[in-house]
Amino acid sequence: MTSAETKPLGIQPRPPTKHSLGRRLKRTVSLYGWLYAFILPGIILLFLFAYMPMVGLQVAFKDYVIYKPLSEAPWVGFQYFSFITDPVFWQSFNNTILITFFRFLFGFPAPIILAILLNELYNAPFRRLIQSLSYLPHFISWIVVSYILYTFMQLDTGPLNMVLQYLGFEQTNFMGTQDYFRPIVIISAIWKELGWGAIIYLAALSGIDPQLHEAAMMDGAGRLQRILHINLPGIMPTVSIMLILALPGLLTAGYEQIYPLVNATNLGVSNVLDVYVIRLGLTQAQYSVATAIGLALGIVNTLVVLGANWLAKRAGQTGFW
Amino acid sequence: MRRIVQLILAASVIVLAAFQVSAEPVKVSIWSAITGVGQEGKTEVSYSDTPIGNMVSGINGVDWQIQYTQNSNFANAFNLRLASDDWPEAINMPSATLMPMDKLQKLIDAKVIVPLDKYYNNPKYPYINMIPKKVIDYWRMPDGHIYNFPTGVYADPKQAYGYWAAAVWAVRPDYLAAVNMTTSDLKTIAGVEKFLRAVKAKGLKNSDGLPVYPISSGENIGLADLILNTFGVSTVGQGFDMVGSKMVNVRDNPQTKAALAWLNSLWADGIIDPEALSQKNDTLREKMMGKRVAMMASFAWPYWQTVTAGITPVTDMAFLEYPSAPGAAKSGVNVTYNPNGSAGGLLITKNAKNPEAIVNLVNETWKDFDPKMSADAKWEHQLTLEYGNRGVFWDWDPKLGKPYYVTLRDMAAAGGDYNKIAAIGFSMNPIIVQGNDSNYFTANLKDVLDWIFRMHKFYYNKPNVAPERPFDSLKMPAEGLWNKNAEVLGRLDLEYKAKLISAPKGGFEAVWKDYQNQLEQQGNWSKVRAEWEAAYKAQVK
Repeated sequence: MTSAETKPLGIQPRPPTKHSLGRRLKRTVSLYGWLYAFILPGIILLFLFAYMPMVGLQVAFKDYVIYKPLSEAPWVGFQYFSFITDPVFWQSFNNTILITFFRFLFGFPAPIILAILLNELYNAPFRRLIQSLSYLPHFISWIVVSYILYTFMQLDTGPLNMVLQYLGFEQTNFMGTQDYFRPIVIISAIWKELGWGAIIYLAALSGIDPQLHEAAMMDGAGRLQRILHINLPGIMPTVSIMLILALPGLLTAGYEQIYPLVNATNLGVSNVLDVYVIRLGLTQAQYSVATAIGLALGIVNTLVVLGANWLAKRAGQTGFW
Repeated sequence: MRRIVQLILAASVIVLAAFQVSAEPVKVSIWSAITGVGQEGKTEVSYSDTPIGNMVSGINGVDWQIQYTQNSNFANAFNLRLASDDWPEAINMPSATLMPMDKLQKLIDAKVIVPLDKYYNNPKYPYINMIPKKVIDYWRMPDGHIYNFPTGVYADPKQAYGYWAAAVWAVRPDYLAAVNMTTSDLKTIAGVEKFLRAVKAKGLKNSDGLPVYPISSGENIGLADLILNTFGVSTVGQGFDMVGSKMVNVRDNPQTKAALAWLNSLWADGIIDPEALSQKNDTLREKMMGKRVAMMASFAWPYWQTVTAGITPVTDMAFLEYPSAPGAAKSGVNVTYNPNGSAGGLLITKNAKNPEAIVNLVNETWKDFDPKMSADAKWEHQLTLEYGNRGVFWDWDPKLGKPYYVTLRDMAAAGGDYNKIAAIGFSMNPIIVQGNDSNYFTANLKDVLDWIFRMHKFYYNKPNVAPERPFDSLKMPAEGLWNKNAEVLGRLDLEYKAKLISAPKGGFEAVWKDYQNQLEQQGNWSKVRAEWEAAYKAQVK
């Protein structure tokens, strides 16, 4: 059999023309120049604020003193990575994981559920009211939220304890014991970001073709069936992207939320990685150790994102690349 | 003709403007490393924007552009400035307690501040020459130079006017009477306990029907510190004091355990406010204003606003001598003052554009040390530097035994409102002059600040107040173990104070052991203590 006989019939693809890099670049710019111009500011910002600071990562491997040039600091290898033997690091690591895991477990599906519920409301003014009310906490700073929490749970005069007492329960000093610290952090985080997080899912739900619902209704599908078989699969690409974006948060409990809630009774559970790194870097000026921890956590975060992206693709969902 | 008139007018304006500029005080930026805020909560203020500041800067020739430190976190603010190399022309340094010598050394190493030797022993600055040699030597750094103009230096080193004497035992007389006791029953810790238990047993309630707590605390369990002091433990400086013939730290002092065990026994019986270990100062103030706390043992800072705003329910509280406690011959020290510069000092940075103007002002602040000056003239001079010309914000009061008083009618009207006080410019001058505390003579502020004045006078000469001792602020290596572990150790102390006080019945010993273990594991306490002891040997012995 000759090679000519193996060729498929029809229009044959033209073999790729080999152009020089300069020529290809020129062609690309002439075709898409304006589009590249539009993304240029973003690239510059990314370079300035995400890549340029990476030069500073060498601090993790140097005996760095803040008021001397970085170039003068001697290399010390992995000396500052000895933080992994520091019991305080592991305490803060455990505290972080416990908070972020449960926050993720309950906090990730919560806005999806809210968005689906809101989507099912036919009364538009009522839906808008609920939406607006659920967004509001997002705009309150964590400092204010911490004061609200302290006041809300105060003994004798706090509304929560007054209700408990009215119902015949004993008052509880919620802020005065470390047992309640994690639930308070998790619940307040979900409450604050629930409405805001639902926006993107509401947008995704509004993009689902109404004809799918009409067809399903004609086939006799109920509301729950349409949610399960049309709405949820319809927003799954968005869920997948949001999941990948949320996973690096597993190592970030949130300094601005935790710090105002810290008091003497919860120091053992409130020392999370963010607080630990800020105390090391800012309060104690141990920049090399703080950078080493930041670098290590950055690597772990990158691996988590890569893994999540790979899993999403394997599950047939949308990934970043 | 019209054109000529216009030209003449324009020229006159220019000449007048030039004169005005030359008469204006020099603007000097200064970082006030002491926590504070300006009027309306501003973090950067121009001193001349306040009525007092406007007058004083006109007299002194320096108009401070003050940058305040916020959030009580001096270490963070210091490190951020060091990292960004963002320094104004001058630094108002806090007292040595707040700004340890290692920070001063870092400023020198980073070449942020300049040596001031050339201004000392300089005939151009005759009053700076009057700074006692002892004071200069105290501030001289290991490289032989002096970088500091100390402020708040005592002409008489033994004088203790003590506005910092604010560590208080206070009781509500109405509740004391309600349980048929008097202040003389509270001279011992056993008497105090009897009172606290009596308040609890009586089930006192305030006018709103809310329960009265026998004793409470502000943030960071200030109550525990004062109980330690009462049990003879010194908590000041670096936490060391002579016990027998040995320097012992607060963490190792057996009386620390005894004091915390006493608190634990009270906690177990529900005597202490259940929110005392966790509440914010705002909550404490609310309770005190609502007469819900029968007794307080802490520094007055957490409830300062309630005792500097005229007569309030809190100013009813009576002061008590520190009660005697088993195992303690006298109370431990919780307040020290440094006669060589109780308020810290002034540093000039590499960025100063007009150091001469600053030094001229410093020279003026030392005029009080001129032996030829009469006492009255000293007061006149000091008050002019702080409050401007006589007759506006201060005046002579011939009726008083003391020569002068600060009138500050507006301040009295401010009624303790910090924003209003700051807007007038009271106490906003970052340079504190040497000498006495004029607050003691503010007769017309009696209604507003009477409680704290009485507090200062009650406590300033008690055993808990002492001049700074040589071992209170040893110069520790900047990158040494002491500085590296200080934050962790401080956090463990606070965490375990709460755990020890709230330990379940019979569980105190186990928590104490855990505390000792954690001090070693997390804070390297033995090594840290050894570093301090080595520094003590080298610097004091």
